[in-house]
Amino acid sequence: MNKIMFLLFSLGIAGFMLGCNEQNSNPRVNLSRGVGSDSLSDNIIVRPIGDMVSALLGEGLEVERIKTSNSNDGIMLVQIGVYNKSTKTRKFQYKVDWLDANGFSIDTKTSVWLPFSVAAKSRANISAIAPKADAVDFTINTRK
Amino acid sequence: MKLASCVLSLLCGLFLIGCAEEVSNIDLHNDTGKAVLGLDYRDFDQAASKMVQSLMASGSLTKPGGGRYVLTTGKILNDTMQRIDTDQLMAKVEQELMNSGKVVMTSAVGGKGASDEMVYDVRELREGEMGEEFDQETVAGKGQLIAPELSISGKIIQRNVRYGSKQQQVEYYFQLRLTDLGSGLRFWQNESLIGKRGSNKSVSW
Repeated sequence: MNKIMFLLFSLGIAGFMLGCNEQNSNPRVNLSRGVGSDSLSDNIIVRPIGDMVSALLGEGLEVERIKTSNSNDGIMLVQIGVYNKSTKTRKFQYKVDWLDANGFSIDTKTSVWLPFSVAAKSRANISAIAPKADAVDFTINTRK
Repeated sequence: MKLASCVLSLLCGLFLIGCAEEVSNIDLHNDTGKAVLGLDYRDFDQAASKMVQSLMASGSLTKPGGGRYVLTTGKILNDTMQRIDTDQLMAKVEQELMNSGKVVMTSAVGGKGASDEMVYDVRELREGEMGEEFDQETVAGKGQLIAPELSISGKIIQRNVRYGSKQQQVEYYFQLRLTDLGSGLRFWQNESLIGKRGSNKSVSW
């Protein structure tokens, strides 16, 4: 019995590790669990082990890219691409603070805690637009 | 006997004082308080922030040829079960739009009438008995008021939905639209939804 359990666990770990390197045929399309077909790394056998390992590793959000640009009238736009490595949906709040050219924080009513969530193993974009043309930089804080 | 009665009354008094809930100020920057089924300041902050960001991103406030638009707030209807002063939403939106440097608000006309009636009160100083008391050159002249070019109007809607036998779902829709008063064309509009679920025992008004 113990041998079978050990075998299943090893298989799960191997599948999970393999899954880390698995490349989607088109990275722009993310088929979440239960939508796409099961794979070696995500199927009914290894799924509970994968979930457990993910929880043990404390996986969460990862910032993949930060894009900034300016509109025609000089207003700064920010888009932050995040990926949820966890096997659970991550719900959190974020707040964007805007800074002027001297690094001073700009007082604005748009800097409030806003709710956000990213589904398991999914990508999402957090977008923000500066309150005025004076804003040239930003900081983002998050909380559960 | 009297002493015992006195001590008992004193103890009862102290006990009742001790039962009073402690009052604390809300940490407005990092409020981690529980959500409520009705609308609280966090919901208005969130709705106003989303509305302003959407309006700024649309580019509708960029005046061709430069300069600032003259903006007024039209009617904002409260179609909820709560007594809401719609200024809770619009004061934040107006403040942010003015701070953006893209618009200037007029206090002379608006959905609720003039937001500052003094604009008209001072004009009554032109004539009559009171007029004699004022240097007429300092009184606002005729034809000085600037008419608004754009107007923001909207609605806050509440919808209660039964969600299971013990829970209810309350949906709040914040809708705003920007209209060019010259042409009547709508330049921008947005809807922000805030949804809450809670016990049927909670009331949302």
